[in-house]
Amino acid sequence: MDLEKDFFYVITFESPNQAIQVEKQIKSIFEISVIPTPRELDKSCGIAIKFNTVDLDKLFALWPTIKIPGRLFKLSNKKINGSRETQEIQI
Amino acid sequence: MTYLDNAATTFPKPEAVYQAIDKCMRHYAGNQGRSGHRLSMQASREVYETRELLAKLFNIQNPLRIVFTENGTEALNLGLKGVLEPGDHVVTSSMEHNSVYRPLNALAEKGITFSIVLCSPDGCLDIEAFTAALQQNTKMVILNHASNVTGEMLPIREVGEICAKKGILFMVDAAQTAGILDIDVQDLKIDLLAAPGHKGLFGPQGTGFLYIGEGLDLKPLKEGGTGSRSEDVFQPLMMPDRYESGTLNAPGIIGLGAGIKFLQQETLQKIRAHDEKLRHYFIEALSQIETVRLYGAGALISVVSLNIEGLDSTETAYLLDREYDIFVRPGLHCAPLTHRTLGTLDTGTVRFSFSYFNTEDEVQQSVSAIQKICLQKRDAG
Repeated sequence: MDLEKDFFYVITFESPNQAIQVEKQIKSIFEISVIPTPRELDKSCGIAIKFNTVDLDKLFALWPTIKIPGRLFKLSNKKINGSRETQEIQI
Repeated sequence: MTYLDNAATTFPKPEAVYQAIDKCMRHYAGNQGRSGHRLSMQASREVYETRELLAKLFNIQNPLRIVFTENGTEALNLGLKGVLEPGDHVVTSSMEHNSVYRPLNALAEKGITFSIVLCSPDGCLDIEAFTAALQQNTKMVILNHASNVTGEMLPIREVGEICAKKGILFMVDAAQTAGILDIDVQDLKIDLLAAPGHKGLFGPQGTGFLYIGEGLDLKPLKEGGTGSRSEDVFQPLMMPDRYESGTLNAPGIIGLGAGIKFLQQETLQKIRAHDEKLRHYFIEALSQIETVRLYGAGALISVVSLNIEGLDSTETAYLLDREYDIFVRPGLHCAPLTHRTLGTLDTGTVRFSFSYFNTEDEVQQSVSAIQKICLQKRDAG
């Protein structure tokens, strides 16, 4: 699907400790990578979790059990004037 | 060589601990929690695993409520100084270590008061005397789980119940029991649990932790870089970053994780059974010697204090070291009030503390050495 190629999803955290905890909790459920936080997003924590593929409904259903204050963003692959388009999605 | 000073620090460690530290130091000792590259990430993941192992061992729901410290003393300081404000009152016992009394005395200069409940001469805490010491403004109770001098256990279950009912914070110093006795922070209603990593948990020196119960916010002992909220010049609020400024001792923490895995494999039950066998043999044999005085009322952990009639504890320890290659600790063991309670403030005691790696042979050799020292002393008059 085109959309899959145009956008990707990232969760950011306040602390690397939180990122590591969430990585451990969801790595068997989703296909994820730990990446440096894209510069368009809040720089609170230098590492973020990127979803290589994601079933958002599954993520929304799971998130309340995680109990970590992460923020989900949709980012464009394409950069306009050097920046990606970003959109926060409430989880 | 017979090392019987395991209450000070366990030696040797399980082979897996040496290997884990060596592997980390050689292959992936990046700065955990700082960079996103794979070396740093591997260190971060392994450090997190130690948090999880500790959480499982002590039935802590959220591993991020565990703060790594450099030893048990730092954990106790953070628990006490982080919570207490001028006007607060603390209750403790006469069987504590100086890692409790010294921070409390420092806090007393800032308007915090504390009461020390006197234990019986064999080191037991009377619950009625404890309850009588509680005041309207008692904010915290701090007790050790077992004495570092006698191994005597304090009634933390009963005290935890009382504290929970009265809304008083309960901190436990598990220096001598973590990795030996079962400690369930939820079942025992423990709000703050402090322990070193280098004793019963078999980690290296330079490790320790404080568990901070849900909803508790402590003042940090130190501020600095945490790898989080770097744009903010104020200390972050989230756990455990708030209390873990500066680079962590990742190789040590990872070694501690290997120590806990060893405990899980062997099981605490098996470790206790081994300790019990050694302690029982040691105490039985020594009870036959008239000039040996044993202290304590029959503990569950392998810390045994004694004195030989006519000898200072330091003289006995020196003879054991130089003539018999047996390493024990004499003196006051940083617990002056315990010795006042036991009546040994002038002489101190010779402390023998066993570990899972000690053998029955070593205990027999120790008994035999003590017998010889007693005979020498008697013959010398």
